[in-house]
Amino acid sequence: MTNRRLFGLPGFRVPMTGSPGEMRKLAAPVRVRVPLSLPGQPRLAACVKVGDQVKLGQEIASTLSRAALHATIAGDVARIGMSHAVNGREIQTIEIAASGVQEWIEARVLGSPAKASWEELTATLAGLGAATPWKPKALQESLGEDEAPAVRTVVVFGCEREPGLCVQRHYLIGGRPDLLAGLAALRSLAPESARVILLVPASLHGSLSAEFPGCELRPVPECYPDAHWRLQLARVAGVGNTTMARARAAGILALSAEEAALLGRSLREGLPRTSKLVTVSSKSLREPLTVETVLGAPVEHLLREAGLSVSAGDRILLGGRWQGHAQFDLQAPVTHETDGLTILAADEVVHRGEHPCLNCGRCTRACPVRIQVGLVARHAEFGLFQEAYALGAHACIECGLCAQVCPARRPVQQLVRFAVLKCEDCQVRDREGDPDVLDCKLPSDHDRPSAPRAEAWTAERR
Amino acid sequence: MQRPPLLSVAAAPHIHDGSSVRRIYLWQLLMLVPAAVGGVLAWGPGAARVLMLAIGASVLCEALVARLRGRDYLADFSVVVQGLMLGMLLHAETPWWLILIGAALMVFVGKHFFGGQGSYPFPPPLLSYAILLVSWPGQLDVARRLVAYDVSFPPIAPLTVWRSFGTTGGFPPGGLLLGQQMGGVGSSMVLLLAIGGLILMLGRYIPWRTPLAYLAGIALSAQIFHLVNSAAYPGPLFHLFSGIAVFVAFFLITDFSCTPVNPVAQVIYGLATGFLTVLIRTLGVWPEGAVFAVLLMSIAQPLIDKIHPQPVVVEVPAQ
Repeated sequence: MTNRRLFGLPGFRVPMTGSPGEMRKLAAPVRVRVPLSLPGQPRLAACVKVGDQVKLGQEIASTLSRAALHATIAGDVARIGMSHAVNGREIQTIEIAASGVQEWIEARVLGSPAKASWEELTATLAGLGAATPWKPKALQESLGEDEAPAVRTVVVFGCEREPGLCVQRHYLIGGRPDLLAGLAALRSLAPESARVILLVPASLHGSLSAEFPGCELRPVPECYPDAHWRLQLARVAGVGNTTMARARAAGILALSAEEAALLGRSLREGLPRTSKLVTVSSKSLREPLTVETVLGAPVEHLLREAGLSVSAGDRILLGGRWQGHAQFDLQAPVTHETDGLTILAADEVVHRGEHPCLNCGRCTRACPVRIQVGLVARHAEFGLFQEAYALGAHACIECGLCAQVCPARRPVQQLVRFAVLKCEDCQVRDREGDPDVLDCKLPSDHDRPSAPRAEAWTAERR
Repeated sequence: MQRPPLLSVAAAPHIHDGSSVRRIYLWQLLMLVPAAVGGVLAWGPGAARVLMLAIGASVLCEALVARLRGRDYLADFSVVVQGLMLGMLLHAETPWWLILIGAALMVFVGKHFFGGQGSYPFPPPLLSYAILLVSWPGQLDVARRLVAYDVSFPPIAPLTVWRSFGTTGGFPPGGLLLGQQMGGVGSSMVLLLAIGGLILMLGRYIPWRTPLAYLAGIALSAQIFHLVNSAAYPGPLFHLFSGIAVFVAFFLITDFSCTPVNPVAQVIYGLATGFLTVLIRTLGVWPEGAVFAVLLMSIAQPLIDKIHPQPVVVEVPAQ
């Protein structure tokens, strides 16, 4: 899987190949669970009650700045409450059970998006609940001063989040009218001086360069981790490493080609976005299948529609194999950031052991942000989180290469992330004045549990 | 209602390239076998006895430690490789009790005293060999112990001949390369070891910068001495092919625990160890300088490994 060149001089690279292949539109699920979160937006507040009847596309939650979530099926609001989000944390969700006719709300079509004034465009988008940094004047005034700086660069990722996915490519090829409309809208919304940069896979760069007027097209190497979104964003921003939030603070707005295209589609159809493309991959599928489903659709629905079944011991990932979140519940919903659904059969699941580090250094040499991964992981393993942090663990972009190449199959990246989370937790508690803050090491009897001890522990829990 | 299946969960990433510690050690074992077989063919059944005793005793010691620590250490074959390396360093007439002491020293002191795999500061076979060499120099003196063998080349180790008599005349580089020198069972099978080492390097089962830098360090420093006084100091080829230099380069200095992981540090480490090897061989008491050069440099390894690029930390881009 890894492409190791002679002597490993260029480091570890995973080729990112993918043909758009077949795209299938799935039937609507009978029940959806929409998590109240929008990437890059503050907390959303529900604006429906349990028992309410909602139409397709009706607003169910919104932020103060009019970014909104919409009902992705028509039916009754069955439950509003906390449930596990994709990443395992608890988050508020709205559950809708389908009933009656699947009827859309009234469309608010803008006469001609190309000729619309800035004010008309922002007003329409605010009405559609699209999450953009640009708001109509009236709304802007009621919100007061916006803290985020003006956008000077818009970066649209036409490359995939990780190998094996094929979502953005669909919008570059099949869904191009939507993407063109979306990019045109972004172009007219952003200030005159701002740049709109579309990052596309290098092999498509030549054929696409004439297709997107007003946009700066940049080729992205078709290998991982070079195509990692955070590294590409950093390249655009002219720094080594950055995050979406920090780039936004510097006036760089980053969004996926899918988000841009769905913005365009919303404007063309006058309906809020409810759909999402997901690449389903599994050993039993000959090649990955990209399906169009709705936000909040449960994993179970996707599996059923794709004709896949899971058995005990399998692993279900929302995302790909490098960054995907494993799910314990088949009701887990598709979110805005779910580009993939990967099913690993029990025999494909990687078991990370407790083998001691060999100090072979493959992880360190594979790291695209040059963390001393082995060293950091060993510090984290023995509870020396602050030392791990001081070694630069927080630079980690979670690409997953270190754990991919570790011959001892240690949970290397997991340890790095553990150290970072522990330290950030300490920093938060320190700010809150927690007196126990120095006690951020694990209990003193912590040791790597030997195999018999781990078994005993599991037996106890059973 | 049917219960949903019990799924397996873990934190990302969920991918692995299939490499394993066992495969690394099995490849090392495989690449040591030609030299070991060559040694047995050259030195006869005595050599086979040394190798088997070394491996057997090491495995037994490791099994004992595994039992005491409650873990499985034997599954990855590391101790078989290390036992074989120890056997290859010893000469064909090494007494059985010395081999047993060596194996016990290697496993208990060299390896597990420091915390086991990944934690030891010195290559265990080399540490054990060094202790034996210092404690029983007479027993490990190849010239004295291998008198009974009828060989076609001078019956004294080439480095000893050079240091004692100031001549390297009886040792053409070609002969040295083919193992025509007194020495350990397998450690002087230079050509076979080099081929095995190169295959390991290409397969990435050992780091490649360290051995090449080590050999370059030896060649460079030998050349410097040779240029200063070509009569007293032999050229690079003699230094590279005599003694255990090649064995050290491909199999001992590359022990992951004791070699730096950062590219620049690996090169510095290799060059410095090579230089120290020639320095000890030329000016020191022990003709085989490689043993002590590696042990000395191993101590400095964590320090040398501090030479690495800074992590690319998260920044706020300029406005």
